[in-house]
Amino acid sequence: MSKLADSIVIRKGTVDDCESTLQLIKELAEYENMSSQVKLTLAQFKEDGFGKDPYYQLLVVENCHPSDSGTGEKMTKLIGYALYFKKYSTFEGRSIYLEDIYVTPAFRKQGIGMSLLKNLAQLAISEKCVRIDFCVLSWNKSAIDFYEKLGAVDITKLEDWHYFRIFNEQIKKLASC
Amino acid sequence: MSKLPNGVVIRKGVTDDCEEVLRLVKELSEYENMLPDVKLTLDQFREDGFGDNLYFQLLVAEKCGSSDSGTGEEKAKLIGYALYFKKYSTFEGRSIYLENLYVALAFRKQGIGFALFKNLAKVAVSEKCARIEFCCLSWNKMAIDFYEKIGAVDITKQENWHCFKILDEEIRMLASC
Repeated sequence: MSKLADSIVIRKGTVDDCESTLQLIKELAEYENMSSQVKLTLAQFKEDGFGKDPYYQLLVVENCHPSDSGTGEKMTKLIGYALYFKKYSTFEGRSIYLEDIYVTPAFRKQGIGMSLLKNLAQLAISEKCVRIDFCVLSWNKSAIDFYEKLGAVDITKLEDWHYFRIFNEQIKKLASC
Repeated sequence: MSKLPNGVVIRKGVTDDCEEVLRLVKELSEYENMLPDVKLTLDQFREDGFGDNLYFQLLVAEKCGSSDSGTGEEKAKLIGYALYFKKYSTFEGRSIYLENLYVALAFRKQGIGFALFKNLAKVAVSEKCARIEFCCLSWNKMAIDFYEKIGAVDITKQENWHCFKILDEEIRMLASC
């Protein structure tokens, strides 16, 4: 595995990373042609990750670069993230669900995506999680190639699993019928 | 919506339900032709649902049985369950993932599956969850018809999402590469 550049750090995300991460979430959604589906607000995103009842955890990728002011000062900027949470499989037990993994295009092919997944795998082991699940759009060949190289299996193709969703409006109807 | 049959209640699952629920988990896996994939032990299942670090929540469908001779007592039996946990969507925020929903064969077509879903929808509304998501095998037409009647959308068909998994062996290789 290629070593990360010296200017790149992968660390746990904090509440102060939420604004930049939300920006990257919107970049990813645009790439997936789904920007109009992003309804998340910054306040909600902060609360849901770092409030009393956390719904997700974050790994972020930070790039350290010299500031434009010419003072020699260093600035940091988030250029990637992985958003994940605990899941449960009635087959294997404790699992992790990787909701999003993203590296900004200018920083691709530098081993950052691989490092994020390696960090996630180490977290999985420390939490005794035996499975990592995620979804990928079937047209995203470069992502699929990458995941399959790491040993991921497309269980839609292999085992005929389809992903279903009930949206908010239908949930409310169902709850009150 | 049809009323629940006499003697059937839907309630939150407790530690003492784990053995029965695990038996129903195996029934469901057998129906899915995936019984050998169930590696979960009863101890682990109890710990993960009711220990210090919770991975899932349970709704159970319970039927009062016939009375023991002479005592007038009724033995209750679990005939269905829904196993779920919190999830997060970077599009809409708080969500619920329904890992399993199952009603024993002898108790189908009596509104129990629907009642489990309705209860889950109420949990979603009270927790401000905007989505309920789950997977279903594409050959399970009966289940798919049921889900689509209650407003679920197949987003593998509609939006081309494929489900992927990385299992324990590959996680360990990734963590140590």
